Amino acid sequence: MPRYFLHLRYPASEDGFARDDEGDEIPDHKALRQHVIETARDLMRGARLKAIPEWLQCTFEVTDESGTVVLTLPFSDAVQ
Amino acid sequence: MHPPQQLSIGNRLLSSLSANDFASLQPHLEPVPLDIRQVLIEPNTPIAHVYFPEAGMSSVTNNSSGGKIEVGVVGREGMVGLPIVLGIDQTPYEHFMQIAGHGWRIAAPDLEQAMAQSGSLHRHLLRYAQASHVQVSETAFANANSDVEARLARWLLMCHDRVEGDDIPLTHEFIAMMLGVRRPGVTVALHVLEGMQVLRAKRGLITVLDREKLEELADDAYGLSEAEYTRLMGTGR
Repeated sequence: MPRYFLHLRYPASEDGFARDDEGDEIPDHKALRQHVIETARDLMRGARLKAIPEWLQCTFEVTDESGTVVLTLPFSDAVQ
Repeated sequence: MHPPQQLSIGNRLLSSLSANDFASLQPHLEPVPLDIRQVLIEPNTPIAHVYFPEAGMSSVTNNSSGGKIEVGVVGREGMVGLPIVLGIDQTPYEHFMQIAGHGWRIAAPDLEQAMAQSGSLHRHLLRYAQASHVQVSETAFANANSDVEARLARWLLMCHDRVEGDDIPLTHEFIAMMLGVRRPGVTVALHVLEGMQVLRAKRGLITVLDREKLEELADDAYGLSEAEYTRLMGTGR
């Protein structure tokens, strides 16, 4: 199964980019989009971080195993 | 294998027993490897053995449909199988090794018999039951009160207390599962802590660089249960 990496861009004074080195195995692109949306929603619902006062200003940049960006998802697009 | 000598025991519960109480357990202690992900106690299943880790760290988890979430940890300061001390034969929680190590195990009936014959042994283990209760209560407090950075700092300190050296061999995915946060939340928090030079995070390995700063970041999420352990058991972790 292909592995995708969910890097997170977040507003910060400098270097607001959390690189994902572990990734998730996802069967296909359609499932990938759903997975990324659900991850964003879960974070907005439950993860209280000092570094991220507002999840809505964050964006997921998803790469495949070759490092190519295959999906960019602003958290605002994940709001129901 | 020679029977264990109390002086060479690394497990704090065993090493802090009176010589007589240790002697009553000694013939029953069997050395065991504690492998990564090894399940020591299955939920809702009679407990066959009680474990006293010498090294490594085990995790107490609630296994819900959404995955495991950690409620407590046990290393060389404690024992896995507290229900036996309380006269109960099973628990709804799973206990498994999250950092590999080794230790001693004793058959539950042998420990029960030793406790029946020695009030001081039983009281010693009951004091640990209280220390463990305080730790789990502090987890509830941290989950309700603290942000992910502080909870991560607390959790890394609890790991650091139980490993030799500064390396904690865990993936972000695993930490995320333990803290009940999606992985990117942990990755951001680690990234922030790394930027503050508190730790170094490589794939599958976290190295603590500045423990003092980590304690500052954990704030009131860390320390109370550790102090209570020392007060109750009369020994450090």
